[in-house]
Amino acid sequence: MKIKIYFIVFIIIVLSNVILSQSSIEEKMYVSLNSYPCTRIMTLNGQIGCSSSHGGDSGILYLIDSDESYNNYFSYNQQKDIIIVFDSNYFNKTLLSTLYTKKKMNGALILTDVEKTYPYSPELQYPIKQYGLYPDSSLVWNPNGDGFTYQSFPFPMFALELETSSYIRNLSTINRNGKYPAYGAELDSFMQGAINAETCLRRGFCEPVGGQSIWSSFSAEIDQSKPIILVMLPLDTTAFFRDLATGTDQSAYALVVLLSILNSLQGVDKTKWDKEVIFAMWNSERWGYVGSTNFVNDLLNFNCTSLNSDNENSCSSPPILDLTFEQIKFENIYAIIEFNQLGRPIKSGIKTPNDSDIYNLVFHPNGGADQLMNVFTQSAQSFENSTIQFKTTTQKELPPCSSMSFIKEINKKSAPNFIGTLVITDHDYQYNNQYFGYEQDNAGNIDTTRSTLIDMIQVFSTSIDLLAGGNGTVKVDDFFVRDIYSCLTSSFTCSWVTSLMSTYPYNPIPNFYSSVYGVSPVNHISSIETRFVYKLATYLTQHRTNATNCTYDSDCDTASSICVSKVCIYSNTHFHDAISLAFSFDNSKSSWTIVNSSYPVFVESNWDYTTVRLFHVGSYTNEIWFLVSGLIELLLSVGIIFYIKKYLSKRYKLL
Amino acid sequence: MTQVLFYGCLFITFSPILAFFFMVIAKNSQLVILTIGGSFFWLVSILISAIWWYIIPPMREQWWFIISFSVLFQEIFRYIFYRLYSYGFNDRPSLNQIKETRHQMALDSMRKRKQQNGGSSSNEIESINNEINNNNNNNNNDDDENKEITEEEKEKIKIEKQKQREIEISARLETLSARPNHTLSSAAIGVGSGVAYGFIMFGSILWESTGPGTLFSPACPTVNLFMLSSIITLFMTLLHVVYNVLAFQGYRSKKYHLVAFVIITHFVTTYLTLLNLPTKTTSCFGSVFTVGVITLFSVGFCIFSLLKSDSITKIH
Repeated sequence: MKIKIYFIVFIIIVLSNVILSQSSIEEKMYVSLNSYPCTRIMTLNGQIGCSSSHGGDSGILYLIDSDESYNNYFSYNQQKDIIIVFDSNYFNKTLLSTLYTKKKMNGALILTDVEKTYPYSPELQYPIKQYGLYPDSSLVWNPNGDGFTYQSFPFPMFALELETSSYIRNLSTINRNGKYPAYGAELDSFMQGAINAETCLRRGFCEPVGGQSIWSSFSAEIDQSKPIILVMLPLDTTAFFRDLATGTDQSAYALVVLLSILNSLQGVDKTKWDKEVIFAMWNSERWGYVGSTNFVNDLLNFNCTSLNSDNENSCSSPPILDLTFEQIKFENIYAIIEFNQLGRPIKSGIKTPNDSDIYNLVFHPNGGADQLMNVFTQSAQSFENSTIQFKTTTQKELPPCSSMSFIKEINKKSAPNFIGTLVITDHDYQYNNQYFGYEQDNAGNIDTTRSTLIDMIQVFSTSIDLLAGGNGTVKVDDFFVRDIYSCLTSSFTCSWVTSLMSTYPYNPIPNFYSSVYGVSPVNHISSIETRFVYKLATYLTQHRTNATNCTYDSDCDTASSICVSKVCIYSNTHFHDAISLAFSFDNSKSSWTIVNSSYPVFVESNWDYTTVRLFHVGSYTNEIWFLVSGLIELLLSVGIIFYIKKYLSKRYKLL
Repeated sequence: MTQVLFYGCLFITFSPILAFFFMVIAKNSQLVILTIGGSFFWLVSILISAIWWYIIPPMREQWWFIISFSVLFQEIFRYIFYRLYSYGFNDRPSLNQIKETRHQMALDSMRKRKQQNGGSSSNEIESINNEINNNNNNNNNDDDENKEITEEEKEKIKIEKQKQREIEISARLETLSARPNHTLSSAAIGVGSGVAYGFIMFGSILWESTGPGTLFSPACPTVNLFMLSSIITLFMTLLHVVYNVLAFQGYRSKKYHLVAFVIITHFVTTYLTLLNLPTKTTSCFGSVFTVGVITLFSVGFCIFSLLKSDSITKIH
């Protein structure tokens, strides 16, 4: 018995060694790279984005970084299976479409070490026109757009991070000499979803694109007799590769401005405020103004049929976790101020007394916002050495903005106190942002100075204070602005993130892609960036603290409180669902269904994992020759044995 | 695409040994059993080596250490298997011995009958000889010679043939319980250990070659490691057969210089594979080429020493 046990132990030891050695061979053969996949999104009529085949696609690396290499590709025949490595300058709709229609390619790797030298946007020329206020508009807000993001590709694509990019660039340059061992890559980003949104949801392989919007107020409770000033912005951003959606000019810059306004107004005396100011950051706006539309709809039409028995502030049917928004009355909306793209204002040519450039910001008013414009213009002028000044747009239509969702309903229902909408941007007509919806819309795409940013915050927060009824004495905290600016535009690893978040970001690139809403109405998936913005807004608008020695947010007694260094912080800051009204959750099937296809329908496919693995490629001809010689060897040994059996056995005898 | 590489490696490595197995060994059930026994003993020796490697952690990265012990264990187990194999060696006759005894017995009985019946039985002896030599070939070309034999004699021959067939059947039954010849047996054991070597040492690597990537030898970065190891494994499997035939021959006929040759060659070839390690002084060409030369020489030497000894004799 004992011997048997020993034997089993020996076997296990030996087997474990064999298994270990086997995996080490694979480790030596394949090197995994840090990469950002192109994923797949389903629409009502089809699909956009990319997917690999099941198990991945592989091939030899072929670098396209010049016109010559681009043209040579069509006559390249060293190997059949090719993964094209694109210098970012050669990665656009026109070039890629020509490539893959003319010759088969197995996948694409996109290098990020060199930036595009020409303006480019993979978004549409009028982003999300059909869900906005002017579906028949003939304006072109985004002239660089080619709609690349909305195309479907039959092969996988990955963007590589900076260091990996230059490494892969070197390897694929080595490949050009045509010698072996060459370098190849395997791209695995198999998307489970297929066909269209309806099919994919039915099969359970997709989740609706959405997220959580955030709204916040300094008042502990919204006074329903006071008019409401809405200060808002679209929170989410897009990029061809969604993990790289920093969208600094697109949203993040305005987000820095808004959060800094919260920080500046924190110290202001708000006892004289005769209006409620609500700060809102709408999520999933790039997918058809989903967050703002949902909020407006809930303000107007939400009716809870049965309250949650455990928590009076949440509703079980229809399921919604936080009912605080019911304090906001749509009729009370007094003004809407939206910050859109602010990061690339144009120099006016005028200089301040201390010789700095003055930048133009542009008002896009709607519904007679003269009063708002006056306040903003005056506070900009009253402020000495201000490096910003305001201009009014020459266009009759608003640029694509979240305010459209409100204006649509205000036009129908009319809020009696409403004095107008004011969208503030850096562009008069066409976007100054040359990389709208592209990975390169990062910190490098900002074209202002730090002092202009401080001035913007100063002017905006003074104006908001004046509009709310205060006396307009606001102090901007330079350090806060600097910290939060680098945090939200360059590296999402700042001290604010470490002090507020319990988890550390997996990807240091700030990424405001809205991602998916969640698997059910009460089961949300929020990105770390969204949760961070929520926590920071809570922290900045706190009205009460309680040292309870807490560890987690759930240790504090209400849902809208957070735990920061063992202190519970209470604030009137809330999440609000940002999911398209097209979807409804079917409890019997426990899946999402499409109930109203006039609202935007975008669902993202599920996937298990995505990898890019690098390996050596051997000569195909050599392998064929090896196989042929193997077969010859087989025939030869059969022949020799046959000969020995037939003839030699008659002449020789074995003992 | 690298399915091509996979099958290439598979054919290169295993075609000689598998052809030998299916065309020679698989024809005899006892040789098959010996093959399995050979694999088992080789596996046990490798298991012991693995345990030896595992229980001495400081020497795990010292390849010379584990290689020497691994070869030692293999040779010890070869000897143990030889002792087991030859345990009842002399008590049981080999197939050839039985054939010869049968032949002799038949000849003796014919001679007796010849003495009784006079001269007419010389044809019978011939026909019996024919039948013994060609077991299944009953349609002998003795028609011409028997043409002049009378009906009565034909009847007699028929009865004799019947008797001979009965003897033949009992002889074949006895053959089944007898051992096949020594040389083929030792070769079968060698095939067993060779195939086990191939599958254990190369099989796990071979499976990885089905992926899209290939691995290149650290010693010479332009040579595909899968091709390199498949060629080395080919030589090693052939060497395993040769080692076993030579070692068994040496043990059996007490020619210990053959055993010494086996042990030395085994050590040398195994250490030559160390040339594949990625250092400046090594080269994979050196390892493959020398192992190949040693294999060819060993095969030649094996045949030569078998011919020189009593294992292979020429039929005149």
